[in-house]
Amino acid sequence: MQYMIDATPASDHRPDERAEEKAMRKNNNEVYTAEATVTSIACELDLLVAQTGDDLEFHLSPPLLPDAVENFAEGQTLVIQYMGQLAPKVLKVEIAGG
Amino acid sequence: MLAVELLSSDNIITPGNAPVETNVPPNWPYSLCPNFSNWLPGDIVLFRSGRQLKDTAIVLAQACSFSPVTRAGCQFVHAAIYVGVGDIVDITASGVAKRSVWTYCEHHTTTVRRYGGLDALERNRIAQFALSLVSQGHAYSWSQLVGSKLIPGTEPQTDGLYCSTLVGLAYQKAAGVQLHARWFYKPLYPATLSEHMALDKVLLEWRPM
Repeated sequence: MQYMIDATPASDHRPDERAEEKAMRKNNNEVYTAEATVTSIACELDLLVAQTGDDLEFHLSPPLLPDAVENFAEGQTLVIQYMGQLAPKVLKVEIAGG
Repeated sequence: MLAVELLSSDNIITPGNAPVETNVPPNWPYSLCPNFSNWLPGDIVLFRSGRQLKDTAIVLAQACSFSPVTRAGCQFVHAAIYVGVGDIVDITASGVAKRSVWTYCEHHTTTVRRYGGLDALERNRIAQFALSLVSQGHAYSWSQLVGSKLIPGTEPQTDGLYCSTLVGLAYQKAAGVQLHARWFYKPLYPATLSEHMALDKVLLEWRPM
């Protein structure tokens, strides 16, 4: 009588925790444009935090911003052009509809 | 032999048939030197856990992280920015300082990560930004470090620096690179940087001088 032996290591049956990262790595040199909502502003740090619909969080400071940090408001929409998905490099920031 | 990790100087016996290093920092205190000619300003330098109790505590904290990335790299306990000529800028309990790589590689295994999408100007801006923090005298933020580890979802603030947030801040302010942008890279720790898939591994070796 022959027995079937599962040759796949036990670890391969587990879901790949880092599959999301691995998928994004393939697109790491592509340029994207996304709308992001300003979620917080810290004038004393010259810093503005904006979040896209897919939970990508950008920390933005001059000279990347088209205006001084104090001239932005929470809830405002920005259009951000960036390169890569894993550690996006911000190329350009514009005020939506501006 | 080139490898992704540089063993500490107290762990190596012979450099093998490595070429002579041409970019030796002045006053380098040892007969062998890392391959600095292959390092670039702005590279992220990471150090493995040593024998100190503090290192063990950092390893354990990172091993308990919500982020699978941080858990995977939990043996790395310190991060710094390479600023050229064998020097790094990092922050410790005594504040932000420029130090020789020797300070750490004497007793710690070292590894180097590189963000590929930077030109020479951006690399120099990152190094200059890190050096500017030295002159500003920023203090280490224990409250940020402990708080961000204990309270899920808490993020380190850019004015509350510890070693990895200094790296993240320099990349963000000087080159617009958002190392922390994805949930699995938040908060940034040395372990997170060591396993960050947007960062390439730089090959290292000890070379005769």
